[in-house]
Amino acid sequence: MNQYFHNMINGIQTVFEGMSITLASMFQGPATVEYPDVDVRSVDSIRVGLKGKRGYKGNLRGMPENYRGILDVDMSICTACLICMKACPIDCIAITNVKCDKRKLQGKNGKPAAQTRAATRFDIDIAKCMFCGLCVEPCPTGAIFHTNEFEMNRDNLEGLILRFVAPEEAEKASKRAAEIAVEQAEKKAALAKEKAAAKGEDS
Amino acid sequence: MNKELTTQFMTINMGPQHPSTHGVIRFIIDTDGEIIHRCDPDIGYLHRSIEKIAEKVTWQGFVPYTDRVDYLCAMNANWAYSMAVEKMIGVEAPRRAEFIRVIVAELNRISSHLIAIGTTAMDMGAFTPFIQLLREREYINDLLEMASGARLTYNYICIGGVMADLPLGWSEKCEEFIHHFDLAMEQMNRLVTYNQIFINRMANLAVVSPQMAQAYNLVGPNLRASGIKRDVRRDAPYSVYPELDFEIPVGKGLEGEVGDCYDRFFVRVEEIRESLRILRQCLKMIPEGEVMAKVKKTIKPPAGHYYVRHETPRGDTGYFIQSDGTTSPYRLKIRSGSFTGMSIIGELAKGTFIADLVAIIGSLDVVAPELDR
Repeated sequence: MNQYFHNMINGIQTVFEGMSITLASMFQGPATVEYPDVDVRSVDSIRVGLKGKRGYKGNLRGMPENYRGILDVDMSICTACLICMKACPIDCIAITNVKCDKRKLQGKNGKPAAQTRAATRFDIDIAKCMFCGLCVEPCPTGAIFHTNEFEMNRDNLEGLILRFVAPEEAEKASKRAAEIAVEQAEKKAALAKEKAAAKGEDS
Repeated sequence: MNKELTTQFMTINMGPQHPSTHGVIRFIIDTDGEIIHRCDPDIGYLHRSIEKIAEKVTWQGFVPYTDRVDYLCAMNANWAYSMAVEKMIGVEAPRRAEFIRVIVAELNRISSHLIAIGTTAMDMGAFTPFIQLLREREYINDLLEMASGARLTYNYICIGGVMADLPLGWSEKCEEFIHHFDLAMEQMNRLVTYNQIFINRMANLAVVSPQMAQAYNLVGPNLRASGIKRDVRRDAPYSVYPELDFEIPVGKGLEGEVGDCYDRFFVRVEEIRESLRILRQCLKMIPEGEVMAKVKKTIKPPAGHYYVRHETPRGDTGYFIQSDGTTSPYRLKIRSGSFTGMSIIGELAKGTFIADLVAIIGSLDVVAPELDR
């Protein structure tokens, strides 16, 4: 009988103990922000969004710099070397390349890099991408990188395929490639002629 | 009218979309009134053939897939796989990288146990602790996001080290978190762990004896709750764990028999404390230096098979890899703690109330994606 009442009192006590914690957090400010209204990208933007609201208890950190968001490519330094395409485990990057004029570039870790090929197509299917960062790591010039962008609502799947090479540029590159091919063929022919002439003189 | 009155079994479905099955699992239950007569777990709803995918991608390319094997402790899964490949190609990660790995893995262990504790309490009907613990987990997510750049599927630990060094001021923030988390954990214990109603609900329920635990091949906290002191970090130490000082909590039968639901719950609470201890030591001991060993871009390990054991929050996780010397595994098999935890539910649930089934699932901490892979 004694034990019975003891258990009862014990149960009520622990309920009140839990309730005190719950009640205490009722008077604390919220730990969340209302996302689409508040821009969560940086500390300042969160502060702007929270203006007029008091007692926010969550973190005021924003997104870190190394956040892995939607991929972006800087085509001015891309060497179209296909390394990112090969590194991607789900093949969401599609590149086709043609020959172009040789160009020297500054590499990512101070190593020199050379461009011998230009991309005529550089598509990233963001719908497939899993933001693992495996393509960013081996890029020799740092052309492909993650942005802080994470909102990617489009009205159709086609819109999620990012195309980094405009059709005009692709046409230009392929025209130049054809010219280079002709030039090289001419050079080769000239060389062969010279060789043949040299041979003829010998005999 | 001489027919004897008999009761009929009623077969009911629990799941696949039941909130307390922690993923997509279906239980076919034969009930005799309120009592469970037979409980048949039906798995496979989350099968993504990750083991088959491994045969199609490169050695480095499989690391982001290990994130998806168990999304509550992606760091540990990354580490287990990376460790296996490192063993195959004979590469050793730099010392600083090993410390970073221990730190992020222990942080991830805490966040995984927070979910386990929170969901157990939520399945019992107490919603507040879950919300409170998720709030604390956000701090861990922020810390791991600062280090890796992602919040859940990190792909941070890679073959030969870690992707990037910790950012400036990270360790101070981590220390700040540990200090803050001690108080939060104390509050949580007052809220749930020492709550008499919660104890009465969990104690003496679904007792797993040590023999039964071993027979069913339970691992991790589920095994330790039955009183068997077994932990890969201590038995087959890897990385810098031999240098660290930490205890292995085992179930003592605090409120009932050894190996009941409350013991399984309490072992996880204790493990969070031990993880905090490891974190404190690591933050003091972490040296300066490189974080990435030299690894060839195209990995071609020698032919042969390798097995690596790793202690994840769900216990002894094994990666068995058969290599034929090419750029992708010939066969990869993942041994996970959730699967054996699932197999014991059928026997444990027999004779208990339907309402207790969610307590049993919650206390075993079964995670569906790791179960099916």
